[in-house]
Amino acid sequence: MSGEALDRRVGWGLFAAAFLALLFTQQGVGFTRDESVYFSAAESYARWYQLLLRAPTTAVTEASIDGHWTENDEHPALMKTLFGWSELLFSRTLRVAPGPMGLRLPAFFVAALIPLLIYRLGRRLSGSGGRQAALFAAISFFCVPRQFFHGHLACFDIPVAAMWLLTVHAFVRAQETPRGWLWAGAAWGLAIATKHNALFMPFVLAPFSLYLAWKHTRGRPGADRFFQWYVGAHAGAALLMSLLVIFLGGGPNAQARFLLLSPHTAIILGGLGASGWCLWRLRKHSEEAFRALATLTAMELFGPLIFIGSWPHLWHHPVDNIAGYLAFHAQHSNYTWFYLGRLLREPPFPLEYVVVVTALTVPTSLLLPMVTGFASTAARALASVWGRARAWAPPASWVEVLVLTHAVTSIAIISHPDVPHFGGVKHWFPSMPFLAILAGRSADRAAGQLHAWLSRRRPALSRRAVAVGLFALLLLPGAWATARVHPYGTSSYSELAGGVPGAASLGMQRQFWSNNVTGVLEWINQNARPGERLYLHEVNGYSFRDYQRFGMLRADIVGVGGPQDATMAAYQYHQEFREHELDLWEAFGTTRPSYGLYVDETPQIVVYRRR
Amino acid sequence: MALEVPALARRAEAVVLVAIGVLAVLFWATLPARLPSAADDTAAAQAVAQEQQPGDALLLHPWWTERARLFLPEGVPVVGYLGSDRADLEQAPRIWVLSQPSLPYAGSSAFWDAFRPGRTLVGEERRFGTYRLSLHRNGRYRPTLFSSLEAFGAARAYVESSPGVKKLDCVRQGKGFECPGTPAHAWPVWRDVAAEPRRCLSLSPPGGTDRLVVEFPEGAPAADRLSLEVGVVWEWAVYPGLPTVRAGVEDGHGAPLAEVSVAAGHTGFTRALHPDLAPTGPLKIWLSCPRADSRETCVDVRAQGPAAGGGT
Repeated sequence: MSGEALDRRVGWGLFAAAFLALLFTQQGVGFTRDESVYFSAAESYARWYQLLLRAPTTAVTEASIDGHWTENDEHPALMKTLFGWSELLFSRTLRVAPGPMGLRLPAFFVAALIPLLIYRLGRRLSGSGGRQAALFAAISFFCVPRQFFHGHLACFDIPVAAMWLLTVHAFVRAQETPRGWLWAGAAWGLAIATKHNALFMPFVLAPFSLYLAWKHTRGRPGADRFFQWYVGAHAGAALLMSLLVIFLGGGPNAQARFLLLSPHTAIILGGLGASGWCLWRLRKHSEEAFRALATLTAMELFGPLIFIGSWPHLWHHPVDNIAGYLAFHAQHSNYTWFYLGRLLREPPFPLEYVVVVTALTVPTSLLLPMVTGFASTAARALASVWGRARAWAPPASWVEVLVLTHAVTSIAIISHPDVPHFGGVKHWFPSMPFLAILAGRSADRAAGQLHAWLSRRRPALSRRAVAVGLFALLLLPGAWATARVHPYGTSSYSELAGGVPGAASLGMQRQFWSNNVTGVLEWINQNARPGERLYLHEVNGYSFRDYQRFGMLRADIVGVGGPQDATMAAYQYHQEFREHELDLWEAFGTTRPSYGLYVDETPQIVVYRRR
Repeated sequence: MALEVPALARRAEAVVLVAIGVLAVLFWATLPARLPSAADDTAAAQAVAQEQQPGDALLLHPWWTERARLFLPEGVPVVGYLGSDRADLEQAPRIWVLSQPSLPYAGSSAFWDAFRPGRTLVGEERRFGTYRLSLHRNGRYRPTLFSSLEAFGAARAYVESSPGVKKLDCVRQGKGFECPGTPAHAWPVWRDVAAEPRRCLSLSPPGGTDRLVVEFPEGAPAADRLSLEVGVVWEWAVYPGLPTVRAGVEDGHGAPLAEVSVAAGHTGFTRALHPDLAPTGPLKIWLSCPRADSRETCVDVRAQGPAAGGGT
């Protein structure tokens, strides 16, 4: 079997293993506060597509679109649409996916792409000898308990990490294949149609496009001229657009003042047209430079088309609705977060927060190779620009620098003290596949070093055997932690944190958020009186409904909105919500719980009954 | 020479990765042995149940190990909150400490450094699996001769437009008072003040220059001291830009006994003490704040006897 064929098999094997692992462990994974909202939106969107098939002219009216697509209009529609179609097909039509599985299947599929893509990008990075490094990197991604947990959810954080990785992979491929630039543009379109994080991607891809184009046009006057014109067309469009924004008064809502048929549209279309012409001419002089820049133009073209095309909510009033979408995320509220014994409520947040939380949640045996892999590659990248240092180690390639850049991008964005900090680690997931790739290189390098030592005593020992042993040693703790904490992944902490109990002593957030209630549902089902009035603290109405319709909570139990109306309650332990537990003590006349979910001793969900 | 640095780094990298891998495996392999078993729970609970006395309290170490509430005898208040290591527990003559020192980052020495001053170990520390159970005489104990919470059933409440000038009577509703036409109220409830759960009088000011008054006709007897503790509850304590809350205690003649001011951003209780308390006659607790909203306040007034010894 050729190396390429073997890589293909390994890649798809990783995909299949990840998909099946998520599929067979999804039962018991509770609904986070947002997931049931997405369930509801997904079902609404699927109903619209059914209407589109039955009565297309009715479906595309503004009233019909508003009726079906207004639900959860703060996030793009791609993943929710897939969740809805999947539920329609696998749960309602074929009846092969019970409970929430039908809604979650697309999430498993997209999540399973991550090991496949890590492997492929890792192979590309490491060349002929990098199969082991890429394999370690791919497996390690889901040996991080929180990443494994989030892989189950019909949400967007793992999907956007997958789409981000897909876009970077396509960007690299685009430099090597004639039509790769088209796929890179489409990949970014899928990314921004998944979650708004991906809007930052052009800022960390464009410099590489420009660098590559510059490299390929340097010393070639014909090519260089069209490269400069291409840059000039973009700069001109950006300048004109900036002037328009200033004339319109500036400020965060300037976009809302745009009109569809206006100078703004003309500037965008003019810029795109000029870029296209430059590229057409450039290709005659340098195919490589064309590929480098065409990826950018493809992103500019296909990104908005896929984003708007997949989201009917934007169709009738694209400018207003996009402005509303961007404004929602630019002005997102802060949720309180317990961090090293203090409650973080509002900016400025600690600059080191993201790095510290990553260190306390990623298994230490994976964190360390991430750090060493990052440090060694960064050192080589820096050494590349310092002549004397080039003698110490081979210079870093542009793909290595690309991986480094994307390993820090999401972490750097969320680290800004004014960016809302909530949601645990999920908001910087797009960095994690790239850190995994760097970890793989470190682990593989360590395996080579170990082999060099051990083979002096046991010459028969193969490098592969040493690598298998070392990789198992490094991956086992993460897999162990994942199995131990599942399905309460948002409670997980690393060995450095002392596990879940150590993190409680350090004063870290216990859970995020709402899903751990599945740990007490069985007890409630067994002990609740008929028609018991149950208050599930911090579980929203959508989730309560879903627990009942999916058979996880008895249907006769009545959900109520607070302790005063309840005869039984499940409190979610959050430091910022202690007042809510005290309300239960007061209303129920007791401080003694009846039952609880305690993960390695730490209170997570505490059940009380009225005296 | 040129290649020595990366070679050294590669060796160090390999050694460190192997060492971390081994340590991480050991961590997960040994973690279950650091956690208590059901039999340990039962044995610890039985020991407390057999020897408990009225007034005892049980302190958890680490503070968050609240699973103990499930199985410990109900008659013993279980205390465990962020900062409870330093709690005086003035109402408890004896304190049980249920400790799990083998938990990661349990911080045992810091706990005992905070706990020990003024406390005397009674008997031997006992071991139940990973639990350590010890009983301590509490030198910080002060007998309570008057408690605003316990006397609240006989209290009345009203709003004053200025000290001594009654504006309106509050109406008893359920277990507390509502003051018609104003947001002011007084309830005996559990409240969270900087993570500490405290059952206290939850008072909400009427706003403006008015003040809410809760009056205890029987007053407090002569005591070693009168203690006034006031804390803005929950996250309202840290809301920025809100006006200062003022609260005080007056005797039957309107003479001030204690007064505190709690500024925005101050978390926890603010305490004022009045030594050598003479019988007060009717005793008044008052609260005022220019703004009524977000200034819900937990107020605890006690007349206390002398400390048992070594107290603060």
